Amino acid sequence: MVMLVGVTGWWSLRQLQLSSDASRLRDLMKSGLESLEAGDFSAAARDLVQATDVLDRLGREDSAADLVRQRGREAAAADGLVSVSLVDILDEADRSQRSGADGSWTRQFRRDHRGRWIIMQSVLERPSDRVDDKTKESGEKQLPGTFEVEYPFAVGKRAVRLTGRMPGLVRLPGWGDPADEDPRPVIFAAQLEACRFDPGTETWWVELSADTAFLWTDIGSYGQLGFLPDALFGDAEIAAILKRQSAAAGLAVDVPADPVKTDDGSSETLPKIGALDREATR
Amino acid sequence: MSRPLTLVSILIVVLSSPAPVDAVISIEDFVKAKEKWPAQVGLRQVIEGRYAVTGRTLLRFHNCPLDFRSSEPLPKLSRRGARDVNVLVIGRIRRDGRTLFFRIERISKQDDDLKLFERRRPIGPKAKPADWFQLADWSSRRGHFYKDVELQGKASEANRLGIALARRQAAGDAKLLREVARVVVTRAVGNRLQRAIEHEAMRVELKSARGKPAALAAVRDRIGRGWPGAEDTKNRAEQSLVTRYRDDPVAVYNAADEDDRRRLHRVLYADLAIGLIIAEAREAGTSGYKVAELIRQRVPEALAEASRFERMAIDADLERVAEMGRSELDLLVARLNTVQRATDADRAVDRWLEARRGRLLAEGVAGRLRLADLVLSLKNDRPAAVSMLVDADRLKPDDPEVAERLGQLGYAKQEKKWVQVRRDLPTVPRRVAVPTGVRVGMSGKQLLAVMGTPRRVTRLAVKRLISEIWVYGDPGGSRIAVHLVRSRDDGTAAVQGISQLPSRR
Repeated sequence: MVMLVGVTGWWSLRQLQLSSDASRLRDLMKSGLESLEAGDFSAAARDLVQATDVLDRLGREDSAADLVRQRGREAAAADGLVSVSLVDILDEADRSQRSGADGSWTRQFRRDHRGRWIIMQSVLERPSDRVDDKTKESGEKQLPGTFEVEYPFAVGKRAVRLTGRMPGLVRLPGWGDPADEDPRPVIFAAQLEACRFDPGTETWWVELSADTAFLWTDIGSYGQLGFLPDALFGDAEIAAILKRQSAAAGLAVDVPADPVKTDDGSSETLPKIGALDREATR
Repeated sequence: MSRPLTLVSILIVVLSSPAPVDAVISIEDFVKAKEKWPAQVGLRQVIEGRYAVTGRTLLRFHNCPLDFRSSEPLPKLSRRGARDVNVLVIGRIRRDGRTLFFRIERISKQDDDLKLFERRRPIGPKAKPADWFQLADWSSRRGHFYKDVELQGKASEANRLGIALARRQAAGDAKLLREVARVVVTRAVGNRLQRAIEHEAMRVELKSARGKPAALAAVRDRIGRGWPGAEDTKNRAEQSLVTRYRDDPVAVYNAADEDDRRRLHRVLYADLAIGLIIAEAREAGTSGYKVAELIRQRVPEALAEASRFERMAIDADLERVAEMGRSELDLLVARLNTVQRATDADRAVDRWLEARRGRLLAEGVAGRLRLADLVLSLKNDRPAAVSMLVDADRLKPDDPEVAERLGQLGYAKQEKKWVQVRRDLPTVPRRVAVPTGVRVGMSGKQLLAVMGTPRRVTRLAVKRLISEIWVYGDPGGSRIAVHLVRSRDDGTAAVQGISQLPSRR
């Protein structure tokens, strides 16, 4: 009897909480998306991460919910960017390594940079058949979406490469196509995991947390981050890349290249998640 | 016959005859209507013009084949000069067999054309430009008929005076001034005057467009497209001309020769372009660096103006140096070094370090380690770094990390004291190895101009900055990587470092 009362109570409370969350969902999404568009990444991350949490608890798996989750990830990444450039990080790492202070450098990296985000636009490569490829030696099969990036700035005379894994990458048309001599750049975000020197190849490896890397899709926040205007590629080309990445990320909702304000000042994305909102608040 | 009497006679004749017949016609118009002469036989006519030949009873007009005969001897036509040959005759066309001639009934001497021109000058406050143009037309036609260059010159003078009057009346109204400029063309007064009036109209338009960027941009574009020399960046005016022009643009432009006008077109265009860059920057809150870059890009000769904005931006950055991140500080230092303000660069680094010193010292050993690193990397100040590390060792004796750093700096602990045991240590490695034409501190635009489009670009967002690597060269051979940092606030990119990349084989 006590158990029945307890379970009923718990269920009622949960329903009450869900109902309360659902009523806040529209406000969270609206303010989050507006903050993201305005470049206030901290507020956007706060609201959209909360909205994502509500969506998860409501068990939403539709495309509009996916869009909010994606924007939440993007806002969180933009809000948690690493504070210095990779060139500076690697410069310091190299100096420490050359002076034999690897240990202190590793501790410093963990303290200052690990878990911080980078947002990068670069050509990604499939991991090469390198002689030092430990996974190959051990017979371990590489997971789908594993990638490498040449960070083309030598530290001293040492090369720098980044490595990570991004499952959405395999859905990008032409990804890793060896016949493609002029591959398009990929725009992605990932958290820094480690930075280690490989004396065998005289290469610095920046490792990205595998579970965190994702394809960027939103041109508004991309511009707010300072990437646009892009004098070399052109903004239209960047918009095309992001649209292509949206499709690969499984976002069914078109990402507007230039979000048009609606009468109430919200972006066009909002009406597209209106269905979600109506259903959520029923 | 005395002149008053002659006039009275003419007046009587004119008043007593049908109007079309008695209207004074010029010999020019009389000759033009030559085919009508047979039909005009017997019709009384009053004709004026310049005679060419006179005899006892015969008179011929210039450019007229008809004989003018008098049945009585003609009065003596006194001449004060070669031009003084204007007469007025009254009479009728008659037949002499098959030949026509004009029978003179009365003849009187007239003022010459130049005197007539002077008398007809429109004067007084009621004079209109049209009056001048009418006089110009009369002089022009007559001068052309008699091949009288001086009279034709008078036509030009009348046109110019008419234009000047019209211009004065249109002052302050761009539309009216442009209409006057069109009249200059139709009256063939000359391109110089037309251009001067269009310039005046442009100045009026600029005045009314003040504070309206869209209108000013339209004027700028029109000047760029249509005013010779306006977009020629090498077309430079001397400073004295620029100063005079800015003080009194219309008067200076009016008086300027064609070469100076071309230069003034550029001055006008450049002033407008810079004004617009500043207005747009003010609206958008753009930084001085961006303004300087835009000025260098669009008005490359305005170096002083660009430098002024850059200096203001640098000075503003110096004010907030304590709040900057490391990358921003590096960018500021690179900019200061580029403009040869090395002392300010050192001061900026000192202030940046000072702002962190207190916080880092409060962090104990870790903070002192960090401070020592910063002192080394930013100032290459080994004694200060050693002192910091020794202090850290005092706080936490025999800390392995502190010992490691001091060891790297050539120090060892002997009898509880840190002493220098090695002096042959290399200086802090520098990553700048500058290829020809590329230098630290140059803008992204300048890099593009020097090196062209990079083969590959990698961009990375970090807090408040975009770090870009532009790669030049063949992947299989020699490659150069240029590191640029773009501030998110103003979008300006500046080269921060250059490195030679290993080939990718």
